[in-house]
Amino acid sequence: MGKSFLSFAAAVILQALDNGYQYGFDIMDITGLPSGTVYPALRRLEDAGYVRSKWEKHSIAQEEARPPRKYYELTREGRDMLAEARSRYRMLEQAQEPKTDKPKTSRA
Amino acid sequence: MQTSSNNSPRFSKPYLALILMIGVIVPRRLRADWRQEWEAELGHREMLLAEWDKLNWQNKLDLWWRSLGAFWDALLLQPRRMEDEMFQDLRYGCRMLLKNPGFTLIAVITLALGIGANTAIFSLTNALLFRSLPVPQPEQLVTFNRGEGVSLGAVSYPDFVALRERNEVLSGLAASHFTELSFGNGSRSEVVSGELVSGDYFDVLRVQPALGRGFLPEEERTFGSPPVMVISHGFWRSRLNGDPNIINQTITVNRQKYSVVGVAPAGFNGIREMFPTDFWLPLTMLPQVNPTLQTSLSNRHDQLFAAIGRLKSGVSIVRAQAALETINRQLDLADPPVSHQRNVNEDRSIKLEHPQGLGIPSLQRRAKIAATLLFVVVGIVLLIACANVANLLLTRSTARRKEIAVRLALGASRFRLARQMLTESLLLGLLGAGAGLLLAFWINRALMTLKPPVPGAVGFNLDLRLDASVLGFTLLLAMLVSLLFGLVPALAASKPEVVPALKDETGAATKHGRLNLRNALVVSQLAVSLVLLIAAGLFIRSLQQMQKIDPGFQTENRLALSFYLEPQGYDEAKGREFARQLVERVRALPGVQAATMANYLPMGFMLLTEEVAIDGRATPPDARNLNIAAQLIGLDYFRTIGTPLVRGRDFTPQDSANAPAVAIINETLARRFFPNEDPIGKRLRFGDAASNAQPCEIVGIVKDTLIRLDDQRLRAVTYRPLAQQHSQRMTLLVHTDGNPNALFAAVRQAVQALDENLPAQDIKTLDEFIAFTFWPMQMGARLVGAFGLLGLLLASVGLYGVMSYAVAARTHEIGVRMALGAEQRDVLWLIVGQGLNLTLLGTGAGLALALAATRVLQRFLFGIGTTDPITFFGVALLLTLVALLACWLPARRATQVDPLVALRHD
Repeated sequence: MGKSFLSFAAAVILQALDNGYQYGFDIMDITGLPSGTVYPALRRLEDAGYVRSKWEKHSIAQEEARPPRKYYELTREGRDMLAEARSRYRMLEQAQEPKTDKPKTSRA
Repeated sequence: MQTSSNNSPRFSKPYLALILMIGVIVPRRLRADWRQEWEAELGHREMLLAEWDKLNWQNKLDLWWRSLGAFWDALLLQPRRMEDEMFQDLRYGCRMLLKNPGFTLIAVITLALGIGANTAIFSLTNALLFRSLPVPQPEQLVTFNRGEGVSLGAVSYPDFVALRERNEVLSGLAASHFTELSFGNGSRSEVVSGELVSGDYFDVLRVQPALGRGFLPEEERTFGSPPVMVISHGFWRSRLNGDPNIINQTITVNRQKYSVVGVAPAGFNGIREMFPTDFWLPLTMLPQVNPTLQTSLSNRHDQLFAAIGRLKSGVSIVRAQAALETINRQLDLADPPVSHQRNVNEDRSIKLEHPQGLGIPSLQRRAKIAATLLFVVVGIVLLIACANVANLLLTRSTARRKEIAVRLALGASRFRLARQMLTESLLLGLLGAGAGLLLAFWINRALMTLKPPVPGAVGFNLDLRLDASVLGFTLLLAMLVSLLFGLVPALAASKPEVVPALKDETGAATKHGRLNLRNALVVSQLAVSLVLLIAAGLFIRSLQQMQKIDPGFQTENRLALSFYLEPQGYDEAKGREFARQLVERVRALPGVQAATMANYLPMGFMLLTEEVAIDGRATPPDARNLNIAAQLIGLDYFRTIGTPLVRGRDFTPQDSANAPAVAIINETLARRFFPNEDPIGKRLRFGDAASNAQPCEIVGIVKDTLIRLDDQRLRAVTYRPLAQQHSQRMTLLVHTDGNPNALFAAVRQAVQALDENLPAQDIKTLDEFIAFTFWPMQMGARLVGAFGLLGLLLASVGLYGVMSYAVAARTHEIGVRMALGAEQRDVLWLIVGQGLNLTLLGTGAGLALALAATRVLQRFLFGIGTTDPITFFGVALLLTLVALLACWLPARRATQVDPLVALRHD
C-alpha cells in the first residue's frame, strides 16, 4: 500500500480504530466490512506502520477459556495518515462520532 | 463476565475446524499466531452471543461467513511464505552442501570444468566477434565495406571527401589507410604498424589523447605536410619509457622526421582493435610514406582507405546506408569505374556495419565458424559435466531417502521438496560458476598465448577479459545448468515412497528404476564424449596428414627473411643492387649451400595472384577461373628451395631486364593451359587484357608445389625472373649445411653491413615461416583435443561413479554369491560385465552419432574423410579401455567383499 494513499476501506478501518474499536470482529461490526476485507487490510496497515498489534493479557483469555485475542491500535503515523485521509474522504466526518459502547474487555 | 462453564471443546465448532484447515496454507512461521487470532475472535464472539442468548442460526451463519473470510486473509500471506521458504531452502541447502564436503567438492569441480570451458570460449567469441571499440558511444560508429568486403580499403580519397561533404546522416566521417612503417631507432630501424588518417579521425571516434592533441582538420589540407604524428600509449610506454616530454620531440618514420603532437589514450589501438596501431600520421603524408602511391590521393579508383563514420543521433544504420549509397551511385555515374577483366560485375555498393571484434569481414566469417565449432565442443563438455553431477545427485538422493521420506511424512509437499533440491542445485551451480570463472581466467591466459604466427609488424591483440557480458553469460549459464542437472534428480527424489524408506527397505523396484536412469545418463555421456574424441582424433589425423604431405619443396635446413623495401626509401635500382649484394654476401658465408631471393615464398603469409592468358589465343575452358599464383624469383631459386625442374631450363643471368621476357610454369598450369601440346616456347600474357606488358616465353616446367594448403584451386603457379620484374617485397631464402639457426646472426650481420636501417629481426627457419599454414589445424587439434580429453575424463569419472554405486548396492548379493562358492574371478566378471554392457552401448551410440555429426567437420579436415576408419576405431578402442579401467577399480573392490560382512549388510 502506497505511503501517501489509503483505500477507502483502510481509511474506514483507521477511523474505527481511532474511535476505539480495537478488535477485528468489532471493526467488522462497526464498519460493516466483511472479514475478508478487514483482516487483509489490517495486515497491510501493520506492514505499512500505521497500526500495531498486541496480544491481550493471558489471564483474561484464560477466564473465558479461549486463546488471547489480538488487538490493534493506531501508531503516530497512522494518526497522521488518518488526518490526511479524512480530508480526502469528507464523508468520513459523518461517521466520526463519540464512542459510547466500548468493547467489553479491557486490556489492563 | 461469565466463566465458560458451558464451553464445549474448542475444535468441536465447525468454524474453528475451518480455521484450522485454512491455517494449513498460512506460512509456518505465522501459522500459530494466525490461528490463535482467529480462534480467539471466533471464540470470544461466540461466547458473547451465548451470553446474550443470541446464538441463533442467523448469527451462527454470520460466524461461518466470517471464518470463510479467513481464507482471503490466509491468501494475502502467501507471498511471505515464498520469501520465508526461499531463505529456509537456501539455509538448508548450504547446510547440506557443507555436510557433504566431498560430494560438494566433486560436483563443484566438475561443474567448474564445464562452465569454465564455456566461459573461456564465450570470452574468446566475444572478443573476436562482438566487442565494440573502446570509445564513447561505439554503437553510433559504422565502418564502410564495399560489396563482399574482402579488401581492406573501401573508399578512395576523392570519394571519401565527397561522401564526407555531401552526406546528411553522419555527424562525422574519418578515413584511415593501414600501412607498415619503419621506425628509425638510432642506427637501427624496425617495422611498426601505422594508420594514415584524416584530420578528424580522433574527433569522429571521440578519443581524447592522453597527452598533447589529436590531428586538426587543417592538417588534412596540403599534401606532403605537416610532418606530425600521434603515437600509441603502448608504444610510448614500452619503447619511449613513457617520456612525459615526448610532445614536440621528433621521431623518424620512413626516413623522415615527424614531430609528436599527441599520445593516444591507453587501451585505444586504432579502428581495428585486434591489430593494434603504433603510429598515426596525417593521410596527407601518404606520398612521403609510400612514393608508389604518389598519385593515389587524387585517383577516385584507388580504394586505399577504410572509412569509419558516426551516425547522427536518431539515424538508423539502414537509412544511413541508403543515403550514402545514393551518393556513391552519383559518384560512379560522374566517373564510372574502369572495367577490369575480373571485376566488371563487381558489387560496388556501400555496406555499413558496426565495428565489432576482428572488424575484417572475411576474418570475421572464419572466426564465426571456428567459434561455433568450439561452442559445440565445450557445450558437449558441459553436458557431460551436467550428467555427472546429475548422477551424483541421484546417488545422494538415494542416501537421503530416509530424510526425504520423513519430511514427506511430516507433510512437506512434493513441490516443496523438489524446490528445496533445486535450490541446492542452484547453489552448486553458482559455486561451480565461481570456480569456473577462475578456471576461465587461466584458460584465457593460455588462449592468449596461442596467437597466430603473423609476420612482421602485424600485431595481434587478443585481449580476453572477464568483463560484464562474460560474467552475465556465466551467471545465466550457471542457472540454466542447475536446472539441467537438478531437475530430474529433484523430481525423482521427491517421489513419495514413504513407507519402504522409513522402514529402511531398499525398495528394489524403485532402485532399479533409478539405476536405469543413471545408466542412461552414463551411456549418453560415453556416447557424446566418443563424438568429441572422434572429432579431436580427426583434427589430429588431419594435422598429421598435412605435415606428411610433400609440399613440392624442402623445408629442412632453410631459413628465410622478408624485407619491405619501399618504406626504407629504396627505388628499383637501389633495391636490385641491394638484393644482388645480399645474395652474394650470404652465399659467401661458411655453411651456406645456396641462397636466392623471391618476392614471397609458398605457404607463407603473402600470396599474389595474377591474370594469365595464352598469348594470341583463347584460354582453354578448363583453365578459366583458375587462381594463378605469380612468383618472382632470383637465380638459383629452384635449387635453393629444392623443387626439381621437369623440362626446359632454369633462369640464367642472361635473362636480364633487356633480354626477352621469360617464364617458368608448374606442371598443373602446363596441364591446364596446354593439355595436348608442349608448353615450352609458347608465350603467356600477364595482367589484364588492356595491359601492354611484353608476353613471356615459357622456358621451363617445374614440379608442382603447394602454395596454400587449404585452397585446392591454387595449384597453378608461374615464375618470372626478378631481374625482369621488380618487387618491393623481397624474401631471402638460404639453404644451409646444418641447423639454420646457427646462421641467423651471420645473415643478420650481412644485412646490416649493407644497410644498418633495414629491419632484420624477423628471420625464421622455413619450417617456422610456413607454420602459419598449419596454425588453424594445429589450433583445431589442440583445442578440440584438449576438450575431448576433458570430456573423456568426465565421462569415465561418471562411469566409475555408477559402477561404484552398483557395487555398493549389490554388496549383499555378491556376499551371497561368494558364500555359495563364486570365485573372485566370477565376481570380477559380474561387475566388469555390467560396465562393459554400458560401455558397449555408449560406444555403439557414440559411433552412430559420430558418423552423422562429423560430416559438419568436412571443411576443417585435410587429407582424410569424415569417417576415417583409423580414427573411429582407434578412439572407440581408447574409450573402451578407459571405461574398462573405470569399471575394473570398483569391480576389484567387489571381489574383496567378505561374505560374512556382506550378508549382515542391509
